[in-house]
Amino acid sequence: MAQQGSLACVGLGMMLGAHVSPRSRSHIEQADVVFVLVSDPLVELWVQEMRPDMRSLQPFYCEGTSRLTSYNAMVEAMLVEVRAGHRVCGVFYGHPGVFALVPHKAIQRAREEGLTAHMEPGISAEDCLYADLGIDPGKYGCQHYEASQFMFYQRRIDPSAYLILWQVGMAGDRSLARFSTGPAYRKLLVELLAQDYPPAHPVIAYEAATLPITAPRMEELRLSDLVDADLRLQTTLVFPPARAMQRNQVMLDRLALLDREAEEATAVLPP
Amino acid sequence: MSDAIQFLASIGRTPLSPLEYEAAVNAQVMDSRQVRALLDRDEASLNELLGGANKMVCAVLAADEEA
Repeated sequence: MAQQGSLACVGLGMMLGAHVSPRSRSHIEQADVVFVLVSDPLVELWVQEMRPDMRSLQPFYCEGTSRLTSYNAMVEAMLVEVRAGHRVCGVFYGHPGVFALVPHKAIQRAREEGLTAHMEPGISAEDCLYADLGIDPGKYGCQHYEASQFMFYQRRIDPSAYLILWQVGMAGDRSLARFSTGPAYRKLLVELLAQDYPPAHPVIAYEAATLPITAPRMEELRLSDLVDADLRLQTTLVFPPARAMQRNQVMLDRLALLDREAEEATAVLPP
Repeated sequence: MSDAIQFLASIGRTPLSPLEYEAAVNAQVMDSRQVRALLDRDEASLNELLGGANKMVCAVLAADEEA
């Protein structure tokens, strides 16, 4: 009986050698076919040394072609091997399910075709950000948006929580075919943000370290600096809260009423 | 496995102090240019010496799937 193919999309974490889980490593070592999409060339070499036969997905990117086309081609490249009965491992930097369309789509399509597919989590850039910047997303709440999507759709920002914008280096690119946009696009992003934040509001430009010999980028800027700042594909912007959280007194009063009713119900119970 | 990549993977697993790092790099038996790049923490030079890709794209999400 022919072996049924399967797909495992695994996360490598962000830093070479530091973050990969034993389960992810096992999938990489045992798969029949390994595809790789990572953000650092030395990390790609590391995977290549684990699996000299690995296939990089980088050649699918082509400036001038919509990334949706590239993403579909990456998904199809993996699924061809799964349909052929191979155990396929898709290796992605960070967490394969966080800000990552390709692994989700590949797993969804495989399952639609009755094939086995699953995801192994990894340490994401978001995880590194919390550790490096000393931020706890639970303290004030935390909003995450892909920067272009944040511009394309109407959103309600809560300035009393953290705001984190991803892929800011190509903010405002409607074509999905560019790997960077310029100051004119960022000016519009700054205008949008200025509806909720003052021009001098602090912003951190963050980039996780991908090698154990380098440090993360944690550059403090002001909102008004962003137009001309060095913002790359891997740069994430972190906006600390601009105002204190406002207590919801109406809800607090209603909760207090519930508490009183519960206490009264307990008090009248027979011994 | 390349000595330099193997070395990076090992210090990824086990962090070293700056002094330990310098001593560990100097103890490596590898191309002197790779040793220099490691001592300088010069990832671009190291990548060039090891023949890594020139350009990597790190965007796996489309802002708008309806675009």
